[in-house]
Amino acid sequence: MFGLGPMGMHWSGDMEEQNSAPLGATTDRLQDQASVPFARRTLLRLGAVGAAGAGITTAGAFVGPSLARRGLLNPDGVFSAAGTALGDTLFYVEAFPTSPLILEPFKDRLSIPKALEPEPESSYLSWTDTPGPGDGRQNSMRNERHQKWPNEISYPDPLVYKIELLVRGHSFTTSKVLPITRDGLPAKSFDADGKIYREGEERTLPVSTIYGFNGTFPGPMINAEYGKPVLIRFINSLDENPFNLDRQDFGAPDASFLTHLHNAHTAPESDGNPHYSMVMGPKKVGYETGTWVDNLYLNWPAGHDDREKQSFFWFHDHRMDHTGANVYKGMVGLYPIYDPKNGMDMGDERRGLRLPGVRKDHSDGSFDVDYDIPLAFFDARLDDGVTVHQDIHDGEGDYPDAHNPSTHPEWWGKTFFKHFPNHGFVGDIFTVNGTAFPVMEVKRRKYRFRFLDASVARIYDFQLMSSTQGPKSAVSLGYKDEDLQGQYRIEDGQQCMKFTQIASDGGLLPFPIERDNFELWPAKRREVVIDFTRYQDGTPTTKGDVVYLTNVMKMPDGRMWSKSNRFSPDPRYKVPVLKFVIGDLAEDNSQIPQQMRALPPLPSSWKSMMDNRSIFEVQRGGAGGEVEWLINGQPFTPDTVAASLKNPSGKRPLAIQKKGSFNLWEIRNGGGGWVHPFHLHMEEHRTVMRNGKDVTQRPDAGHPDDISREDLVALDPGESVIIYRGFRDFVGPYVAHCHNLAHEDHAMMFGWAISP
Amino acid sequence: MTTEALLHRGTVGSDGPAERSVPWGSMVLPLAALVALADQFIVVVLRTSVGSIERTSDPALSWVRESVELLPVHVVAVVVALALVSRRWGDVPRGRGPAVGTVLVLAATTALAGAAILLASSLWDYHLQAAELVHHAETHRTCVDACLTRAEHASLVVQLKAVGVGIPMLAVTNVVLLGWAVALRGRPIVAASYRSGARPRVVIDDRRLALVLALVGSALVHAAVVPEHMGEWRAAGVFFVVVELAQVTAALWVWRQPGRLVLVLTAVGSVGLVVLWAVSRTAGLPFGPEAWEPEPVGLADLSAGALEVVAVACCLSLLRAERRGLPRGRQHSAHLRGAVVAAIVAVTVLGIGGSGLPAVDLLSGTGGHHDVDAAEGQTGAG
Repeated sequence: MFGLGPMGMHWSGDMEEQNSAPLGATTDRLQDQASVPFARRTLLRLGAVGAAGAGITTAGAFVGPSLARRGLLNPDGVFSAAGTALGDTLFYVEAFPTSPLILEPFKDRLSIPKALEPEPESSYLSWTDTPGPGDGRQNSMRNERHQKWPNEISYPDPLVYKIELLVRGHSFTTSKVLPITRDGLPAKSFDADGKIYREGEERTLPVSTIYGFNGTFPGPMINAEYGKPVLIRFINSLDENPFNLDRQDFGAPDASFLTHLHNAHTAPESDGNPHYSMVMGPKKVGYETGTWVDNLYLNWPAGHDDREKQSFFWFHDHRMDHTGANVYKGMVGLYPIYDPKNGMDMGDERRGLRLPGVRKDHSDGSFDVDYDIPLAFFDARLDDGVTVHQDIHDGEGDYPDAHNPSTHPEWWGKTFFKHFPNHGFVGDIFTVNGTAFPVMEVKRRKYRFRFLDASVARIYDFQLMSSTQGPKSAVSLGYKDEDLQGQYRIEDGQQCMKFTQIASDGGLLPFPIERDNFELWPAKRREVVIDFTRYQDGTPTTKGDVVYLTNVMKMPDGRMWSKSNRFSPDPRYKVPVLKFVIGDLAEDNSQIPQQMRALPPLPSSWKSMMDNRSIFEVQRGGAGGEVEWLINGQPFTPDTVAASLKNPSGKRPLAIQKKGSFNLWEIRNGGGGWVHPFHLHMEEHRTVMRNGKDVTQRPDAGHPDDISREDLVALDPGESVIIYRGFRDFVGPYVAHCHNLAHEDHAMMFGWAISP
Repeated sequence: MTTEALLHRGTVGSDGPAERSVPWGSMVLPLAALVALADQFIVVVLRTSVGSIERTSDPALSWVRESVELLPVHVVAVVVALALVSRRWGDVPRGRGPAVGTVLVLAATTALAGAAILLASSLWDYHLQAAELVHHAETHRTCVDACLTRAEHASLVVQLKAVGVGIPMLAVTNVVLLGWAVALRGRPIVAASYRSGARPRVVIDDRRLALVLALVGSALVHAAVVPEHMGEWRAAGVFFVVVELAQVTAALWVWRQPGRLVLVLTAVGSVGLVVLWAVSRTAGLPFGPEAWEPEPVGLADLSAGALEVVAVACCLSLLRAERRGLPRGRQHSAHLRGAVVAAIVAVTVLGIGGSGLPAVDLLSGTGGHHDVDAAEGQTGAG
């Protein structure tokens, strides 16, 4: 046999081998052995053993740390990593362009949205189809009704808003740009008329075509309040194109939409989920052009429990198979929600918790709150005119006019998007409220910031930094390829301030938490207070001081980070995304409270529910076409509810919960090398266990928000999270899905339902 | 035991000449195992990259399972390679050229086996993906007709591309691996070993050996599908138990007393099974819960059918030899005999792997679809 003997390396053949040749042959072999120097055989064996050892050692040294960082240092992970590498190299044409370099960052002011005005009663009462309860009044198909009109819960009639889906143009910057290659070298550029511009020529970006709520990006902001319902009539006017804009090759090909108020406590017909849409209402993937739907948001906490109140929603498209494309094309709106009960959190820093905010009420029932700023983060990628456009939808013939696979020099400088299920989608320009590298002049006082990650897949890790040298372009620092993402860096940046986190997805925390940095996963919200009067060391700020909101998480593709604070931080990756310039002192009546909103209690018996929990595991693979992900072995099937994996009690319960019930659900990340922000519609939850450990008292160090209420489960590679959640007030179908929109659009979603 | 019986079984006397045989323990099994592990790694990695989603969970477990279950296929390849080597360069190829040639022949035959496995795996992936595309089109109603056709075509192209990429990878891997194995061994690979005549040994007619193995193999495959059929239709489950017992009985009978009667009965029974299978896969059986509905062809029934055809052929050959008065105990070369035995074992194992038994399932992986009892609907705890 092959092996080592007691006298060193030698052939330790068995009896069969000893008899492997007739006598003559054996004699020959002996002669052969005598004539061949022993050293040659030994050398061969040493070489073989050495080569194997060197190979294993080298592979371990080079590949091991990378696998470990991605949670792939296990047998399955090796296959996942090898399969992914092979796919990247040979099978998936997922080419990203390099956006032109914005030459004058931090010149454009941060756009701070104003509250949308509601429709006057006289206006909406004149509509042909007036909003209201009763059969056939919920949409233009006249086949649905609102499950619960406000009077059923003793709430007033809703404020009525009208939001049209419009085709419009949007500019991310007013700065000149320099077209560059992926190596950072000057590149040719193009325009819609076919003109070619030489390398090094500075350009002005053309407007990108958006499908926007009321034609803006981000869309309008509705400042809502608990106890005051809101009804939004969404009208699809995407068939109109008054400015004759090129629709390019992304966005739902039929221009349909489906709006989800993330994560409001909403009845299914207003929740904008495909599980509903395919079987009721439009009975299609979304609301087509020329149709409308009234989404009714009761602004009513789950179970009528004040402890379930939240503080920051956002609404976005949820059209099946094209959510990522539609959101990326602009379908994003903001929906802060205040709590006027006892003035607790009503946007008035003189009352209640006294969180930063100066409220200005308007006669139409709307209000704005100064010093209370929503920040929607969104990473974009602009076409370089030389990258081939190709994805599954081109193969399916969704955009015949684009004649893909093809390059599109006529779209140079406009937003680029393709469905890249293998890499996911990340941009290389980071925008805030629709502007790249904005600047905001702040008063010397405290501000409340509502952070929202409206990106398709990018996760951010934010810190507040000062920099002596200021931002330098990554190109000028010699970076190339994926290191150009973010375009600018403050390599000398040092943390100078801290955040005081006051809220997460699920609303106000029980108490404020001081944070040096925090991660923001897709669709997640974090609210923080920043005190611009002094630095973290106590030194007062002065007028003209500059502080950068800086992203320190390097995420070259949509799978997961390559460098982050939690795993092998890159001290040179400090990308400034928003510049604060400190201005004059301003009156500040706000305070950082000691206590905020108590958590709804967990039942003492929650551990006894473990055996009967529902278990859902995401798995990665290909099924052709749109299906790249399975949950519990099944792709998303719109008219069915998912079944749990076998739980400890030996059952595989269907994801049907009785109205008014609570249960434990386990979400497992079964795919190697990917992270998932897993979102569950309808009610927020509490994480009770992560990777088998009880986190109700002490959260996992990597996920400090586990101790709060959330609507997204942040799943690192290979992680398992058990959540406790309720199913109250409404009945009908809902969905749960990954909010990495490239995952969601490729079937990483399952239907569930609440039964009466 | 009578002298005649001993002759029937071909007992070789203790003073007989050295007997040429396949070096199973020292060459075939180690090399086949090495190649199986390496080649299946490539197959599973390719599947992880582009394969059907329901086969991509637990890749490490799939790799181990498939390496074990497909080992007989690689054994066949190694035995064939050794036969070719023996024919070209003798049982102990000496010199640099023959040594390198031996490695290349081994690499070629094993890569061929690996390529066949890869092709079958990729086509199965395509089959599953095409079904999933149809399901997706039906439920999402977004990609039908021409779009669906294009999507199916794209899926097929990706699978064929995976095969195109995988075959050179298999060939290069096997060359490197087998070269490394030779280096580790320190001297050339031998194509045949020789047993001295010191140990008495039972020799059985090749056809009878093949017949016994085919019957046992078919019986094992039928046993493997009993649980599935019991769940669907108890009568079918009982039928397969009866068939399995009959085949085992026939195998024992053939092994102990290969008379005309048993050969005729075995041939008739096997033909009957093949005809029944053919009807069930074409017109559908006229009875049962799905009367006149053709069943889909699967790996298990194909394997069992193939083994039954082999059994019929062996029976006919033995009956003809008896009719012509030809002596029994006929033996072909050690390598051919070894290859046939390994091939029958391979078909048997493939059949069991295709039976749907969870622990050995070659087709769906462990991430397959779960049957759900809708009556188990969750009501929550509150």
